[in-house]
Amino acid sequence: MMMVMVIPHQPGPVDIATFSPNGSKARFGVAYLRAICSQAGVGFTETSIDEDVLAIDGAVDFATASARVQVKCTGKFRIHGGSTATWPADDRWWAKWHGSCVPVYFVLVVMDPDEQPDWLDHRVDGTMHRAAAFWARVDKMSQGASITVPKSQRLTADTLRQWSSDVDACFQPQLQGGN
Amino acid sequence: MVSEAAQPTLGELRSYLRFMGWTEQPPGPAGALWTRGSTRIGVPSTADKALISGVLARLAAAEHRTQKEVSAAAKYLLFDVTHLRAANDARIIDAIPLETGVKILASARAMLRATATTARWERAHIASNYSKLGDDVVRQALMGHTQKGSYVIPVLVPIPEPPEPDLHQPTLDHAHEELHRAPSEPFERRVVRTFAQSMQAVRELVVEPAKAPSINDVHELVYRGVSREFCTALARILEQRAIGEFEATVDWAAAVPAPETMPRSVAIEAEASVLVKSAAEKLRQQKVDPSRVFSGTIVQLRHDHADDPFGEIAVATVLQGHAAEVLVRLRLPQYLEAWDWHSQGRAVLVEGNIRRAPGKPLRVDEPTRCRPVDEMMLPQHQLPSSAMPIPRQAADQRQLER
Repeated sequence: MMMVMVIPHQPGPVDIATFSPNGSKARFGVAYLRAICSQAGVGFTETSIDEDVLAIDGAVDFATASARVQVKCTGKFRIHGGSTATWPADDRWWAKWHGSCVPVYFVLVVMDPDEQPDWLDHRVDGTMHRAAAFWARVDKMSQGASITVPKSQRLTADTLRQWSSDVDACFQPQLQGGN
Repeated sequence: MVSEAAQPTLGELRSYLRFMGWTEQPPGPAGALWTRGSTRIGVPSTADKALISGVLARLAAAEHRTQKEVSAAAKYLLFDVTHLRAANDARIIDAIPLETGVKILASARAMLRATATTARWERAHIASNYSKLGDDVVRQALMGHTQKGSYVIPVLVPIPEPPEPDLHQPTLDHAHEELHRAPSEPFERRVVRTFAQSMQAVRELVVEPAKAPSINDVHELVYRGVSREFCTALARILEQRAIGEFEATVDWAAAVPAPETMPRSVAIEAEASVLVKSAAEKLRQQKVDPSRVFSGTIVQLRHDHADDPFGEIAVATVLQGHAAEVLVRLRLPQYLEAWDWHSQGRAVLVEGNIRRAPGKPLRVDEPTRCRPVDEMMLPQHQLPSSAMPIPRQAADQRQLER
């Protein structure tokens, strides 16, 4: 007769997540953008689920008017190295962006490393986001199969000043030779 | 206010901005910057829902109000909104008997139509002689979404945008010690004001005394715009079994000065239907000649010399279907009171012989009464204005002016 010993099942840690890994990354990208807006004292309004969410994730609310943003968060790129990052663009996105009368910015939040537990580093002297965001203005960009985001355009609180000037310019007479 | 989902159109928004003191700057490709003090708001030139919502949010922050309040204020800047409320019955929660709903709507329209005619020409019994201009106002009226919390039907009457404000506020010139002009009340506002003051007059002269109106009361009702048709329609609403009370509350269009002291809200209980019906019957029987009585807003105040014991006001009114301005001579104390009535946006009711001379303005030299129309004081209770003693304070002031 063979004795069979049953090892009682040890329950693992309870899964607390409500987002999928990809969903978590998308939320992190928006939260990162919100953090930069907060630092600059500028509001961020996420596009309501009731509205047409295609190609516009939210609005950065400046004093005079808002700019529109599309945020993508990815672990496919490294923060250092390379001068650009490219992202595939849908034809419908371009139609939406080119139809906007206020500036539209494409923001690429790069997670480096990609592994979810490493996104935040809780150090003794503070919390480090293992992420960086780069941006490109797309409402004036020519349509193509992909969007090229220069790594030189790192999104910081100072960037938002430039965006605010871009927004104001849309509501002011254009200088000769200006866009 | 009327509909939570309503967003003002670009035209409504621009009118509101102008009315609130914002200045439009030269536009760019997306729209124009509107400025007030150091605050700037970018207003789009195309009807982009998200951008309009952004403008409302920025305006709300600038005005320390909620976005919903600003949205309603902009949307209804040029509308007098009368909220008709049927209440006090357990059956009325989110629904109303269809029969009752139909009766309320038809009767409310009949009441508005009657006042649109009497706003043009006061009379006790309209029969089928409705005013064309009055009917035009009724045709333009809109019905808003019904509101929760008993059963409320908003009736919206569009008011034309007033001309640019007169910068010549109280002025002194060589000819006059004091001369002030103000824009006259648009006819559409006169219609809604007549509706509101008719409700008030029925409440105070018919319902509250709880007796059939006297001949004098009937005259006073007619002077304020009440007609047999108005009372019959009101009684028809009150007779509905599902209704305990009928109330009309007016939100005056912010773009035109509102009658400040007129009650915004007048409620009449269902039990009063018999009284209102008897008033309708009296109005049918009684012939009222309103040729010596007219009402309207004050559009001019004039006082020629410091020692002149009389001042003169001009009242914009409608005499037998024709828009007219009548000059009314008042003793100084009453003239000073007229300044208060004017600044409160109150219309006045004037009684007296109207002097008509070819090529000259219409005049009432000795009015037997000139009081605010929302003051339900009957003529026998007051002294004719020409016999009114000058209050001591005003007499002292005149001494000082000398």
